[in-house]
Amino acid sequence: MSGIWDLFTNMLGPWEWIWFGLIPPAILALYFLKLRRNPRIVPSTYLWRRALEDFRVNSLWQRLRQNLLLYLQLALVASLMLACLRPGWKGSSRSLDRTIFLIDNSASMSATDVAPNRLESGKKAVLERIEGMRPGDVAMLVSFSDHARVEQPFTNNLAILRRRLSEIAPTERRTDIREALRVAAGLANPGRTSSDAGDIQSADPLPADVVIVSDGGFPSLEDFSWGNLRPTYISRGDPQATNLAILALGAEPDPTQPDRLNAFVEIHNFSNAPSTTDVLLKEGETLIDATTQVIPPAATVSVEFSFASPASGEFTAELSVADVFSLDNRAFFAIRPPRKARVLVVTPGDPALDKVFGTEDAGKLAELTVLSPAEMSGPKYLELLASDALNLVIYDRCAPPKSPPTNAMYLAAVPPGDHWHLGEMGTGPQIIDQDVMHPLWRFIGLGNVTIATAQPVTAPSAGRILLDSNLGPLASIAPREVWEDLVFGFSLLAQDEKGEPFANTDWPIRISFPLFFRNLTEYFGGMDSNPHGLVRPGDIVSPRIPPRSDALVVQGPSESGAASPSRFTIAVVEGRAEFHDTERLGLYQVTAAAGGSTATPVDRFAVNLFSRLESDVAPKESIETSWTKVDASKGWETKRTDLWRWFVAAALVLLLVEGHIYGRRLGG
Amino acid sequence: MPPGNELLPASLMLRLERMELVSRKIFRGRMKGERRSRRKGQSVEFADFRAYVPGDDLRFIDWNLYARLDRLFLKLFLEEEDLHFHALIDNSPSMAFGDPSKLAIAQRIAAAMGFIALCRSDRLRLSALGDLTGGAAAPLRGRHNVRRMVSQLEAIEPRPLKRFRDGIRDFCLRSAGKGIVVLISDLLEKEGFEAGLRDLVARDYDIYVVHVLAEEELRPDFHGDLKLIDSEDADEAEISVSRPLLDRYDQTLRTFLTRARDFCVKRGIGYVLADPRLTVEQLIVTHLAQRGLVR
Repeated sequence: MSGIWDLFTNMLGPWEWIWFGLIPPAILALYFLKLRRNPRIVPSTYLWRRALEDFRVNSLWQRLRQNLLLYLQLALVASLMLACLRPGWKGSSRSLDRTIFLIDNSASMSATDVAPNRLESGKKAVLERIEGMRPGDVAMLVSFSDHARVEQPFTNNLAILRRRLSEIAPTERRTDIREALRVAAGLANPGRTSSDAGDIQSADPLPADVVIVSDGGFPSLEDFSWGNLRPTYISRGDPQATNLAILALGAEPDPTQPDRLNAFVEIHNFSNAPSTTDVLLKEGETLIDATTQVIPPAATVSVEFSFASPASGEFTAELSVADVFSLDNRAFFAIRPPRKARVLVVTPGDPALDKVFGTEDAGKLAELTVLSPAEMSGPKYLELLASDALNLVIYDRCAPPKSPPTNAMYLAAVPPGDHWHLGEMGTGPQIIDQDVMHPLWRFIGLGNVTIATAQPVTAPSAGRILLDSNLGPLASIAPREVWEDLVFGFSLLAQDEKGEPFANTDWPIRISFPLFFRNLTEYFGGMDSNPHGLVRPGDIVSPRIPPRSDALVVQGPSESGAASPSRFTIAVVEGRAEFHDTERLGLYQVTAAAGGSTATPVDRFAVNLFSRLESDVAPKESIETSWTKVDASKGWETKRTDLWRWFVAAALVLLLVEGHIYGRRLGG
Repeated sequence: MPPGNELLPASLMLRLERMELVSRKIFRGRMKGERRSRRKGQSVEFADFRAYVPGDDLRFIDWNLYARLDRLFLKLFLEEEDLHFHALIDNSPSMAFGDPSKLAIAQRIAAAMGFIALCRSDRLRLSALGDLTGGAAAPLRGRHNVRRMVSQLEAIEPRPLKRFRDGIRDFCLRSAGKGIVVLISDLLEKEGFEAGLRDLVARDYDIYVVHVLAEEELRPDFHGDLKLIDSEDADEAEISVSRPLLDRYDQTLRTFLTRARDFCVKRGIGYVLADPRLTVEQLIVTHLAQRGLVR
């Protein structure tokens, strides 16, 4: 019963209700006391009485018609009384005033635990709110994944809002709400200027409601203040949702069998129960290997595969489980195409260098040209430099008059200019430190290397010491424009007092020597077989640029619903190219634009999600900042829907009807 | 010819003087008039023979027949008698309504028909239903009494009438003769007009009923909430005028008119509804002529 009374909000006091309540009885009394009837003498009431008898006999409707005006008057008073009671209810419609809808369209919003998916469910909730907008209300639509996009600035045009809302499509990106909140906060919380006149606000604050429709799969908001924003968080997703996800996929050449790869797949179980799945390794649609894994709840399992290196240079790992979030059930790996480094060695002659670059394996890695220092002034040297094809020039005990337009390595010499210096020659330096984190020292330890003589290297301020000794740095690397210079303070060969060459170090006979030169060619030669690193949707990739290319073609995964792969053409500007359209998860191939569709790929990369936040599909129940917590709203913050206006309108209509009927009766 | 007046315009008199009243029954009058009577009397028109009995008038013996049959027979002749025409006017208070009033219309009808009767030397007697105490007016005969007829008619005023039947009965008691009776009334008797008319029918009159109703009775133009007061018995009826009520009244009126007509037709009473939109001339020349009262 109390539920019924919740519908009413009384506007009148007791005495007012008493007076109001006297009106209906007064109407009844006046009506039946009556009616002033005009007396009229007629010849005879004989026929009138007969007519009245028949008239009255006829039914309730006639009786009703006789008192219709009375009923209308009573209904009018009843409508006004109800209006004074202010009936209404808390409904889903609400005055939206100024509202900013932040709609999460990141990868996790494509989870299907809510039909058809979280994003569509969220859009539907937003649409309901938009439909409840009243004249004067304005709304803005902002979609966000790891970056925000204003889909529609403030407008009160419902048709435009509906259209823009329907156009918000899911992405495969991660989630970062901060940019979206900055957009919203920028409106509600204008900045302040500071001038000689004092601290003034740059614009009037415009408080707004911000409605965040998301599953909460974004990092916590540190140091964020809502200010004039009134946040509402609409959570989408099933709290009981579970998911298996591939969080990492890597591959390394088998060191003992270079034509085989060792791959590892890291799988996490985002649920409270163990999950079983098949882990499939595929090259295209061809199954390479498979295994079945049981993953304990909330645990990570790493699965390893060893397989022949795929000819296509690409492979995928897939989980057979069908869960609510399928984007993380596949991971992609691309092996960058091998590319020979073009190396120029300028040396007066060094058997060790000859030997290290002369092996069959070295031949696979590098294309070598050897010149003598005297030829640095010759046409061939200049031609090579001008070809823009060199990846590395090694200056052995010599230095060019001008730094080459490529990477350079100096043995017992320094690049031209004042930035590098070699110190005083010392003997028997002891290697005390090695920057093993640098790729040049991968798999290399120089602890067993002896050096007869060396000069400490002083690198520019941006330089990095790679090898340190008791005499000082023996090797350093520093950037120069877009290249790098690597300087060793010792040579492989030295000359005695008689001018006879002798081995200045035993490094060439150490296993680390050929490994170093392999690392060297890989590092400077750009034929790093390592992938581009973790490339996520939206990341910018700088692919390899083949010599004399001014454009590249990047072929990526098919767009949703498209039969053919996507193709993009990017320009090469000043030796660099950047690819931005990494929206879709999958494998990408880069070819030279001039090579046509059959060109051999010059580069490959894979775009993977690999995000624990995205794969942990359980929706968050609140959004927390350093100071506040906004709990997920079960529905719209309801506001009372008043109906009193309708009752007043009904009273007016009844008044008009009564007047019309009365007028008709007067006119017969 | 006397000059016309409101009751009897000169133009109407011109028309009416060529007409005569016709009775569906030939009645024996007291005086010799212009009517053929079935009673065999002394006139120029041979009617029949009968055997001579001692004491009969020898002047009427048919000697030709005696010569042939050697028996004595008397000739019988149709006797011309006068017609008694009674104009019985309902002067109850309800007849005072209308514009012109129903009473005025009744007076005009009675004047017109009375004029015809006087022109034909019929015996005219004017009576009013409400004149229970004053008695009937003196009978009139001859054209020279037109003015007196008009005066008598003009003297008829609305009078309270206890019952319609009482008025009829009083007329029947006062009028010993036979003849044509034209009752001019609205028949709005709450106890019913049938009893009164039956009394008339029982007297073997040649009865005609001219049913007069006012415009406000035939087509009431009422509005709003009214208290209708009966002019005769002060009965009250409260009405809220509405289209359905007016429709129902119209239906009741038509039922009433149909009942009156059917009652009259069944009893050989000539019935004419005197719509106030009709002129007296139209009523008499067309409607009463169709009914056979005048020609």
